Amino acid sequence: MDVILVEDLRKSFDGHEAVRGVSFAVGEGEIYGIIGPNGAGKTTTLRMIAGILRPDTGRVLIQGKEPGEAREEGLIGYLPEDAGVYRHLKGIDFLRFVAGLYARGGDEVEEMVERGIEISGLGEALNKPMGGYSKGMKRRILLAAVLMARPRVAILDEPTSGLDVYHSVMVRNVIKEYARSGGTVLLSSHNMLEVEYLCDRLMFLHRGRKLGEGTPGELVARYGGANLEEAFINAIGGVDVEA
Amino acid sequence: MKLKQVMVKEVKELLKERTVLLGVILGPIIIFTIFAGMSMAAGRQALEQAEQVRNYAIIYRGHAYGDYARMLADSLGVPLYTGSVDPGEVLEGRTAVVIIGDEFFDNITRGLPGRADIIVKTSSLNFLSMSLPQQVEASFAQGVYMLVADLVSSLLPEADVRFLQSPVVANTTLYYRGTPLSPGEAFGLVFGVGLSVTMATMILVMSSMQVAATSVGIERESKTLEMLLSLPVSRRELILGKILGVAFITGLGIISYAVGIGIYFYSLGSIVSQAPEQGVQASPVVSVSPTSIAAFMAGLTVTLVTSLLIGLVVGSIPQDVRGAQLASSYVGLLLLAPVFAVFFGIDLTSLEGVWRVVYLDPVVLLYLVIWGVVTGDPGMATTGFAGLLVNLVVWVVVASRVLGSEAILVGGYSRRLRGLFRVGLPRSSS
Repeated sequence: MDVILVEDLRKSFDGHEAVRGVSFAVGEGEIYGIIGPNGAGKTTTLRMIAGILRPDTGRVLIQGKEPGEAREEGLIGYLPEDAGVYRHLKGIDFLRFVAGLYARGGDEVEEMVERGIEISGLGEALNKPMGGYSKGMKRRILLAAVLMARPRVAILDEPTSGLDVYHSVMVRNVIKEYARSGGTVLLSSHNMLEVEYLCDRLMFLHRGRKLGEGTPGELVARYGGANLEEAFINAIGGVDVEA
Repeated sequence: MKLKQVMVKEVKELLKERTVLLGVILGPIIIFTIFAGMSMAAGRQALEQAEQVRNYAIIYRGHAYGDYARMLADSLGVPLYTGSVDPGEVLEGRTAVVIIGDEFFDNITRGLPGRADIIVKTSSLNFLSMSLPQQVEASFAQGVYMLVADLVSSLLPEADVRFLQSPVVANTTLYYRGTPLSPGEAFGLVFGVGLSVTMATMILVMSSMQVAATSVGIERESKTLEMLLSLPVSRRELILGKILGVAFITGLGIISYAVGIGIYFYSLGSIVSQAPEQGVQASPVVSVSPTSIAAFMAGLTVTLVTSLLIGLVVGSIPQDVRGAQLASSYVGLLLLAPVFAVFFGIDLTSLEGVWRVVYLDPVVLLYLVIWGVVTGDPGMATTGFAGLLVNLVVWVVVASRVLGSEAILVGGYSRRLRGLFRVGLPRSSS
């Protein structure tokens, strides 16, 4: 059974159609990427799958459940693109807060927090208020909060956005490891190299429409070009300097 | 030339900043328009009161100076009653009654100020109506002056006319809704309830709104809201948790308030208890009992919970903390404006016609509770409290809808209210 099933998803804001009939499915343990430029509809799509926005039409099922229900059952972990942190909360307390919402018992909280400490790699900094964290530290604590609970589906919007090379590699390894342990990952990114390295399959999204879907190799073969980046440009019909 | 370009850029940028537009440019117009409305209403009320001042009668209880009493009433153009007529009956349809006896004219004919009892009736108590007894006294004294000035040369050639500077010594009593108040008591009631208690309450209401608005503003500004909404917790629990969290902070304010007002009422009580020993009649209108304080605290609690709900709703419209705080300040000012009207002489307890719309305001309803409790009017206190409960239910529904809606995330409310506040929570960024 597909862990994520998306059918003919549509969403408009003030008459502007942000997502226009997007459909795809993601299986267990798969890393699925959505690639597209700014304004393509990636974040709106991910928000609808995470149960934060309601689609105008179409449907999303997470393990056969509506997103809202799946979210409340702890099946979904979501990392927004430009998520912030609670300035006065210590990192360790934030992990404990999130774990408390996912866990079904006290022991489970501590297990999750231990995992979160490991994933974040923040060490002693976890005992300091998050307001003093660098951008990279904030991204790592948020990613740790999403993955430590081992939700069935991790939805990551630009997971390495703003991170330096070292921390980007670290985060990618964490995502790979999570998928290897059976977790399903749905992510969006501008970074074609990252997507090529991480994703089993991916989709090109442009102006709210799905242009193509397949493995990175299949897409390069279908649209031509030396790499995924060129394939994407070819798929959208070249670079539009007016856009 | 470059200076001009920089300046133009700066002006354009600031004008697009709606917090600046609202706070600096539109704010004064809004505030002064509100105060202008109050001043006009107060002015109308003052004019009506000026009419009322002349609407009094004289009761002469003596026998020896009947002619003088008649001449005095005629010179003032007011009716004269004699004998043991009931002042309550004379007061029907009138603002005041001045009671004088033979002693009054004994003094006048000896060149001394005459003693008079002045009873003034009012259905509202505020800074304007509080001055009614003095105005009636002044009007009466003016009549005495005119009478005596006419007669002094022929009847009292030896009189020391210096007493004419202040020809009447009046013992004035203000009847507020059937209860007698001395000027000191009326002032204490208006100052104590209308100013001290109300101002302290207003500060607490504003603070709760600010705390609630800031709470939402922080979530939006620090971009933690989206992640919070994605966590495995129902929207209902999320909203309730936020409300309870803010309510806890407000609760600390209530405790602090309870201690403060306890000290305030204790000091009032100790003064009232000393009054009989000093030969001063304690006012029966001021009713401070454990029950009344409990009723007041209940009303205050409901108002504060309502105001924090309003703060949450208002705070969810702008994008950042600054905008949320500004918005809550302005909404707070609008809610508090009717209470400020009290200081302009407007009686909030007996509004009529379209003005009754202000009874939708929880702060006004709390004012009714306070006034009803302190003046021992259970009807008014109950009406105010019932209104507060209805208000609470309405705002619970509104807050649940606003905070549970996706519009809070994508800036839907901001767009709908475009032009009012700085807007633009990240719509779909990709």
